[in-house]
Amino acid sequence: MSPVAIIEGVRTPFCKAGGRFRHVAADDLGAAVVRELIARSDVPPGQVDEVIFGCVAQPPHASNIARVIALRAGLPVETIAQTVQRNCASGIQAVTTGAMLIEAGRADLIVAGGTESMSQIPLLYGPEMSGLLMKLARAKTVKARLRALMGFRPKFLRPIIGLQLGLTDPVCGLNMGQTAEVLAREFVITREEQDAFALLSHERASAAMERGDLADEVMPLIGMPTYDTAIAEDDGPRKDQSLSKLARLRPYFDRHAGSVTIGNACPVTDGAAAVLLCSDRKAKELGLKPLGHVREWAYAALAGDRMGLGPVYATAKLLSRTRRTMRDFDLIELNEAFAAQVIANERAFSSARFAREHLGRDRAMGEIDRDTLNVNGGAIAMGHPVGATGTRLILTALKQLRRTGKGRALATLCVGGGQGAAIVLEAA
Amino acid sequence: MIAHSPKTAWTLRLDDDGIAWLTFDRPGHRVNTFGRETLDELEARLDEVAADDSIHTVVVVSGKPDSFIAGADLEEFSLIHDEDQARALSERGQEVFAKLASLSQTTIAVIHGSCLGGGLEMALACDYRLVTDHKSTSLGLPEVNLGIIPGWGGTQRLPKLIGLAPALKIILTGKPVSARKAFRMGLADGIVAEAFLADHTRRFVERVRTDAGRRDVLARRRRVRSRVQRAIEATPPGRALMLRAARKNVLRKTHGHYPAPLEAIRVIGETFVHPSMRTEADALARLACTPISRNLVRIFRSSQQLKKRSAKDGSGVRVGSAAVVGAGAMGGGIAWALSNAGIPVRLKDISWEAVAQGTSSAAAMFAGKVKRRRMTAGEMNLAMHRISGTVEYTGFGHVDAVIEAVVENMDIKRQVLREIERCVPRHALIMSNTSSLSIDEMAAALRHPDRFLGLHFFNPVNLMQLVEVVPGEKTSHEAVVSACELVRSMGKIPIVVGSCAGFLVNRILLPYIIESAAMFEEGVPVERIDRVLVEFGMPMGALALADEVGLDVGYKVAKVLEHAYGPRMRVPDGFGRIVQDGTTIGKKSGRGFYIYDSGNKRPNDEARALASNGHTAGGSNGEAIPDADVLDRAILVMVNEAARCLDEGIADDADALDLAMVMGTGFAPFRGGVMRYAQERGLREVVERLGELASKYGERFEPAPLLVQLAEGGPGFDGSVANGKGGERS
Repeated sequence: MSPVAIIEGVRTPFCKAGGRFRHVAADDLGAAVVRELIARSDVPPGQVDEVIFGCVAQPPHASNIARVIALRAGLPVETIAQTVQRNCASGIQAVTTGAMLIEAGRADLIVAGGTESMSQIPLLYGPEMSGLLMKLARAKTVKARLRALMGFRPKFLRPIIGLQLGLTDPVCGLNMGQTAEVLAREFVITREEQDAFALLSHERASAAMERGDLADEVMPLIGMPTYDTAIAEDDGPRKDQSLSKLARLRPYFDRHAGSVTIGNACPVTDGAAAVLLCSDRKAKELGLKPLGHVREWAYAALAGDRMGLGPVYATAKLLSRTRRTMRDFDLIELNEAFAAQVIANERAFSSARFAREHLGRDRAMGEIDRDTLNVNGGAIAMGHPVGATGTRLILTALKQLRRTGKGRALATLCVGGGQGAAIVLEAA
Repeated sequence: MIAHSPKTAWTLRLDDDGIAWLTFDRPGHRVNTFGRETLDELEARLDEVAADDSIHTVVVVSGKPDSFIAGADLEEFSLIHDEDQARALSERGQEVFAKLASLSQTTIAVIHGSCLGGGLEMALACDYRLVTDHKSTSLGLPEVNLGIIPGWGGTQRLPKLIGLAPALKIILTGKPVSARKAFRMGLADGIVAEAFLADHTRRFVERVRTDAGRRDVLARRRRVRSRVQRAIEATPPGRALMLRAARKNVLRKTHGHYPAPLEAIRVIGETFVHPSMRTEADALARLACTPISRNLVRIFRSSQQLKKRSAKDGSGVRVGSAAVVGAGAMGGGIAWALSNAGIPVRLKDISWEAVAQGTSSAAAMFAGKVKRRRMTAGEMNLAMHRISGTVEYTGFGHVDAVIEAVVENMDIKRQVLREIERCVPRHALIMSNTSSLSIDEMAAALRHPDRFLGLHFFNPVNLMQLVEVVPGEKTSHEAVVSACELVRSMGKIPIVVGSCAGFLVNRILLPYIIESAAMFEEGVPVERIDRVLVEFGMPMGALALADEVGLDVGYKVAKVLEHAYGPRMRVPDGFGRIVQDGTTIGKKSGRGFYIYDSGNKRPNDEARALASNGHTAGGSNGEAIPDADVLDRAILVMVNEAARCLDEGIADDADALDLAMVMGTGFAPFRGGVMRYAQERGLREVVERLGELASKYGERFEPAPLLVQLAEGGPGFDGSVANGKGGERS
């Protein structure tokens, strides 16, 4: 198997949905990062074998968004492209799908990434309205048309919010916030513990921004419609975030007995990220210096109402397949969908009982040291453009390894619908 | 079956359905044009058709790829030297097309590609016109742009077909319409796909061979015309009103310098009710022999030549991706032009604010195109994706060309050029969009000066077609060829000029502005100076132009030229006093020679006071300078500098120089350019006049040696005898 190198990576700033990027479509975000990635990696665009992108809510105007991105980014028309979807893990799926192709010797140079415009997830007409429109279109005579129109009721116009629909598990019936409440109860995680973790995320993200560390991975984006401002930074992290401010927020998903607020959950966000995957052979041939390598990965599944525990399930699967232990990781990027969900994972990782009851292991997975966890903050501060986050975790981990001279990182996240993803990265 | 040798332009092929396919494919030419020979041949084919009973329909098509008929053969046209010849050519075309119109068979022009001038007039003589929906298909009568009117029945047939108002629009603007528009206005009777041209045409033929089908098609022509306009056109006062409005509109736009559109209105007005090919031919004959038409044709032809000429030796770099360094107004504009040509471009500046500014100016240019429906919003999205920003030269490793457009400062430019050379591949062209700095001095900063040259764009980049290509001493031939190709691929016209301060256009233009500023300082009111120049035919007055460009920019360039050329380009002190404190720097600051508010401009008394250094009563002195002197001081100073440029070989020849001045500065096109104007006025008179001005206003008017030499009997700039007043050729 050919080792898979990551040459370079870049992402757009992550901006809150409905904000600065509300006019920038998911394919535009993706195209901007891919063009910049190619420029930064200094590879001729014609050398790219395939573009693989993850996107959770593909915009209706750009099905197989990866291909749209490839062309908008100026890659040659001969460039093949596929879109992958594993909900929140789509941005990791793109990387692992690419890595498999390279390992199998079927490709040498792949652009893998994720993109999401949560601003532009459309509002939908319900089945009643669609039914009426369909009848109207089929009606041949004026009379038939009138009859179809007579069926109209004002409530038909009430839109279904696509975003809300997407964030709800259709099988267990819970939305993502409600699954976090499930974990808060299972692991007895208090509101205060959640808020403290949220504050930590903001502090770390703000500090990283101040140090200029995030600029390593973020490209300024000059966005439509007027193209007159370069957005260079994430707009989520709050320098002035405090426990008292967080405490003032009301629980959002369970107003009466809940603990998950919009302050200790990640905001809906627009953004894209991409990395350049390359076989070692090709990297040598083109004289490219890798940032690091993709090693093992695993996906695991569990009940949808406990989907937040995806990281511990996926990591357990990964460890059981390899000789790795948690001590092998100098750095952990664990996506912060909700503070409660991150804390639940911390507890599950360190619990022998959980390991026995749920993971089929004799001993606990191992403590997660907060000093190695999300050291530059996470999604609670900078946001979670669902399709892009997976790639962002990989990118952030690799840049941090390089910055600190450390060797190995674990990137892992939970996936709506009840899955988890975990991937091991090594510095070059 | 009638067969012809492939050497002929027109071939006739009869198919099994009784349709005769009449194909125009002029051998040895890239596009089809009508001249004596091709008209004769067409007539012969038409006679054959008339005599052949087995033919029921004639279909005229072009054998050229994506091009129908470009119009009359301009080479032949420019050889006409008197009205009789012009009338004869007009009448010949009318006669042949009349034959086409009177065939008993059904006639159809199937138009794929551009169909202009005589090409459209031929199509108008057919019973029906079909157009392909290809983007290259366009129909127009651009004759007025060449100082003439359609002379082969266009003024007679077009108004009848589509109505007076739309016909006037097509003839007076000279702008072609798209296939879709032509169909909508009834100029075309159907739209076909090129891939199924024969098939779709056959289907149309079947349709119009039935009475019902024919009625349908003819009814549609009426239906698409506005009812109101039809009603207005039906009455004599309505027509008079329409013609008067058109005339007023033309006069407002041309200041009366261009007789052709006015003649077109007269001819159409006189012949709308009582057609007269004779009236058309007479008008064409008169116009064709005016110097105005000759000048416009000459300018048009030299621009076509420069545009079409491609790298003959095939050497040089084809630019597939590029970079622009410096995202100011020019950098943003150049990035726009590159992206507009489909070339991805990295736009680099030192800050993201600057990059965003350049990007947004490119976006505004594209948005303008979207608004004018010259491009779709989707195409704009792609075009904007092609422009990507950087502050660190990332992405320069694979570009084929870099255009530097940073601030006009030699040290900074040299520094930037060195940085660029470090980042780009060895084959990449490096160009500087300087307007006044020395190419050779910049080249000295580079390790490989052979790939470096000047590439001077004019502002605003999206509107100005001219680009000066300035090789330095060490520039390779390949680099020059590549740069010219790049400019052409941007849809612009490259003109190779010698490396000197100001290059060609600014070196000639600046003395004109400086002289106007000097007159202003002497007390001539700004409106008078500008009025005299506009009346001469300049698109705007010299001082209004200076305000438009920015007085600070103009002053800086003027100083560079003064430094290079000495006393004859001395910048008047008053100019310096005006720009001194930085608040009176032209339109962008709201005040310059004029004050600008809410779209109006009025003379700026403060500038007046500053220029005359306090003593406001410079007026008496100004009144002593007659309009004739104002005009000649501004214009002949250009003639004089232009002669020096020719003498020094800065421009290849007078034609190239004239084209550059017309394209680069808007110098009155109907006058044919700076040198052509001098030629027409008579070189001896020009030299005498310069002598007078020299004794009256200063040595700077001392006639250039080349002018004196030519005035004394040498050949003119274009090889004709110098003193044939009125520009008659020997």
